[in-house]
Amino acid sequence: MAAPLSVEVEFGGGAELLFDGVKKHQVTLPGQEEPWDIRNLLVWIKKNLLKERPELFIQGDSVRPGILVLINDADWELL
Amino acid sequence: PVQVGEDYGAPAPEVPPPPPRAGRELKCVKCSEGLPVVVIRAGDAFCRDCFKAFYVHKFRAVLGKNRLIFPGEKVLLAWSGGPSSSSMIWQVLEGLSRDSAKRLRFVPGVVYVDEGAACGQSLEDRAKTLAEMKLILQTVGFPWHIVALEEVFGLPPSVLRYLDQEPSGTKGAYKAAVDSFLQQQHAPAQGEEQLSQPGSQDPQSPAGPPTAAHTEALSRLFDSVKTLTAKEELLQTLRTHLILHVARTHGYSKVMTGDSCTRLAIKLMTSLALGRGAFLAWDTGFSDERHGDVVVVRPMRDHTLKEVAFYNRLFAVPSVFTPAIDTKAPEKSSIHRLMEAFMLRLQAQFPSTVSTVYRTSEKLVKAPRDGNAGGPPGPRCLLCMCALDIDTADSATAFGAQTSHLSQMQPPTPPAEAPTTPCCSAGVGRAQGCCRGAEPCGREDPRATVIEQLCYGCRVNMKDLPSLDPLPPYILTEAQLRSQRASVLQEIQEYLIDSDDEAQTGES
Repeated sequence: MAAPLSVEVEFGGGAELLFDGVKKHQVTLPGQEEPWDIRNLLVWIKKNLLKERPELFIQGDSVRPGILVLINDADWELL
Repeated sequence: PVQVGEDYGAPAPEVPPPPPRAGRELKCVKCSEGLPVVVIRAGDAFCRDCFKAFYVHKFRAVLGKNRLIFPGEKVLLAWSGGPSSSSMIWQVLEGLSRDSAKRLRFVPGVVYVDEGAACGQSLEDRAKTLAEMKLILQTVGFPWHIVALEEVFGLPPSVLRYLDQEPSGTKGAYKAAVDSFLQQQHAPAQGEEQLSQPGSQDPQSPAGPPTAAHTEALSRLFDSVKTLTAKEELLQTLRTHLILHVARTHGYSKVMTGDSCTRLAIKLMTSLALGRGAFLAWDTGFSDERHGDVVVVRPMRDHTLKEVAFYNRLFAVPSVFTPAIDTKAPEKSSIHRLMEAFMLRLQAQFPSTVSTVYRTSEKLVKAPRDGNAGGPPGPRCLLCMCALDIDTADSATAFGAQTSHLSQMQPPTPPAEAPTTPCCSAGVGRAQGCCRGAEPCGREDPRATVIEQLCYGCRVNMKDLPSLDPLPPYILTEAQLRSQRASVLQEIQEYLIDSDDEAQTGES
């Protein structure tokens, strides 16, 4: 059981338009059975933060091609 | 716990420290020491410092390899506020501040085109964006030119003309220019002083806010265009003309644009789909000489959008997001959008997609049709200013058939062999033309006059513009001028042929 988790999520380069123009979001992810991973987080963002046009943010179970993801200022492809 | 996307940002959790997987053990492929932060190409992980060196080197290598920019030359940096052109400006800034031989030696200026009116932005939003832009421009310190897209309504028809380049272009000339530049440079004290010199805080006064009438005329024009595809093309056309005008009126002989290799790969496919196959080399190559005197160069064409986004993020390069004409549009709303989605999706699955397409664009050669290389070119497209790819005689193709009715009712564009007439015969032509003067203009439908002066791609595009009336006047004026010139030339030619015939009959 993973404890609630505090995360800062930031959108840029125009993606913030899908989030009411807000770039930085300080959020607390609820505790849940399995540990949080990016896939879960994306779903959570889609449900809780995303305001419009989900297809421009998420496609399948990942971000839309062309969207880059950094985790702690490092390319998520490194993980 | 922060991240940012290049086109769009995405999220990242600061979650249970990810189980140390192989990735985390990786070291930078360059120095084998640093902690990698970005993956470029397949699996090459770079640390922050090596990535920076790699990025900066690439920028300088593109310029060095092509040797197109002369020392001391005035170069206009076309800045949209977006990531790639912002990064380009920062690379130039960095390059100019270097010491010694590695320093860039051209004289930069920046142009920003405010396209808010075409993108449906409110005046307040536009003012806000402009304020942000100016703040960055002040930091950069280069002379700048802010122009509103509305200013196309004040452009002169001459902006659509090909102007001959001052003779220079050869390698020998480049060397000579470098030498003379170095001599000049050694005289004044070298050093940091130089930096402040181009950064004169004296911006070319922005001509003030555009008039409401022009803003309205511009929105009317864009509202009248039926498809987003045609809107994007029209916007690009008008923007190019405006930048060209700024460059010409302020003595810039080069314009640098920030097209990244990702963008150019997308553009290549888009251009193909738009029927601009004949101009791919101009549309996507390193240098674009279609305007003659002002050459467009694309120094970011070796950088992928991902590299740009990471560089800007890691090294705090500021950029300003402005909604574009297709922002938030669905993926299938225009050929441009569709092609972008197609390429990016393919790239996600096959990481060499962009580079493969881009390598193709590198190999394209600008061979003018029928090998009439050099010399004053034949007729050019009124809008995109590429050498016309229309062969009116070629009625065997579907396109020839489709356009043949135009060529029948119009005098064909003068054949290339028509001599650039000496004034005496021009006088005769005009005199002769007088009596029928009303005729050529009278019978011409202005739309046909414009259309026949367009390349295939631009013709197709103009179909989505129900009326040409909302177009800025310089386009219609130049079309008319060209058509008048063509008919005068034709009359002269008729005269010449007549005398030729007489001579022949006299001989026989």
